[in-house]
Amino acid sequence: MNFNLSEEQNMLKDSVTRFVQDEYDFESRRANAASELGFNPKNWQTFADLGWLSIPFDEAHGGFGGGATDVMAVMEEMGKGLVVEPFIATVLMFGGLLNKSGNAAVQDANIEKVIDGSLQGAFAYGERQSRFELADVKTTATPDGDYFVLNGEKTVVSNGAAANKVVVSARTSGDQCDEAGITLFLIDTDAAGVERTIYRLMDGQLVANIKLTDVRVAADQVLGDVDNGFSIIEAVVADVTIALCAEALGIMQKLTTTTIEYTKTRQQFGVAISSFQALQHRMVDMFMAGEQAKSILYRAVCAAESGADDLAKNIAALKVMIGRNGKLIGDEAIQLHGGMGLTDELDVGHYVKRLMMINTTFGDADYQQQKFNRLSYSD
Amino acid sequence: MALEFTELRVLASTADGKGPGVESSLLKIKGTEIQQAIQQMYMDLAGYYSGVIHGEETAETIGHAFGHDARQAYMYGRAATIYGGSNEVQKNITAKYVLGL
Repeated sequence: MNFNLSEEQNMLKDSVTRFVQDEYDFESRRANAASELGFNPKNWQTFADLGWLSIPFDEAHGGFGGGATDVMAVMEEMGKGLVVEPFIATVLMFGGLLNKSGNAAVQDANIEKVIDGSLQGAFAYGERQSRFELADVKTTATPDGDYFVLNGEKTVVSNGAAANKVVVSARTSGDQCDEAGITLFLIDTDAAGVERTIYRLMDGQLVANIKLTDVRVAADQVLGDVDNGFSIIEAVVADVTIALCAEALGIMQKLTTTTIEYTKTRQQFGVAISSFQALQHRMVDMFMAGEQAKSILYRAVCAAESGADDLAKNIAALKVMIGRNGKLIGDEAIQLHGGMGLTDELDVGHYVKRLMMINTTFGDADYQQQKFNRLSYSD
Repeated sequence: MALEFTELRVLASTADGKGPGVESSLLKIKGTEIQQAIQQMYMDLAGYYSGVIHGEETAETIGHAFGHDARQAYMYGRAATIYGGSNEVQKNITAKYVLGL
């Protein structure tokens, strides 16, 4: 099999690598994360200028027409730089929902703005009680003429602070945890009845709880069909999970090389601690965990590109391994750095925190293992 | 449970007038490992709330305080296997003085 990137994909990957090298030293990253929006709008414009914001959109909408491999190439490099700009939330998640909405008017009105960098988006799916269940939706949408009226609360919405528009999952029929009866609505964050509580997660991103009180949404702002939004959610979350795991792989590789370099310089008992066999074996374990993660990522990307029947199973297995191997690598990186690994000054802890947040996004390793079992062994 | 009785063995040995013996390295290693396992469980329970930093918000506006608390305990807990003689050093001590290697 050929696992090489195409010439075009290599160019794309190199452009992200260069951006990270030139513009994203640790101090810049820290300043970007600490700013009002949780990222640097100047960088966002650079992303637009370089064409990255157009990657998942089709050519008819001015997009690049990229697939899972293109996204993987970009995300791995963004992971190495610990990039905080909301590429996943706005382009892959929000953009992915627009792509799969089948609503041409909504696509025409919004995709161009995502591509030129003027529109920030988010997907509000979680609720206080929902944990990792995407179908656990209590927020309601009641039809009222040509409108729907939304009531409820969405929590921990990624890019919730900066988003101009948010896709909200709400219940139009069925019981709290039914997959059927969920509808997707596109709302403006400055619409009447939308109230945001903004706070930070430990990886630096700004998220929001979004309270909806009698928010009126025109029926033409529905993505997909009424009551049938769940299949769109599942498909987009599958794509984004692969992207997140590619980001995680970049982080795991960076943590492993940083740790190896550190142990070569840190002296103890008169020698570099990298000379201790007990530590060498642990760094070999870190390396192997990263290589395994890369293999299963490639497997999932191949399944996505070929539209394989068992794609969902491949993605669940990928998420399990990213969660488990990411924990091993993160724990060892901190331990082998000694007390330094925990300090705010060193980047190690920041990479580990992002890995931990990726683990919990769309279901942690335990949840995904259960899902894998269900997909494999139950009829 | 095993940790509790290891602790009691060390205390009994101290009470007999002998200094804490070789078990103290074992206590440090197992104690901190168990502590970290419990802190990990808290994080797992918190789910996607495990990353929350409250800032000026409250448990009520955000949802609950469990995630914030779990995160703090987890992060501080990372140091436990490093300070007081890292667990690697404790194993060196055990290898040298207990196993005579």
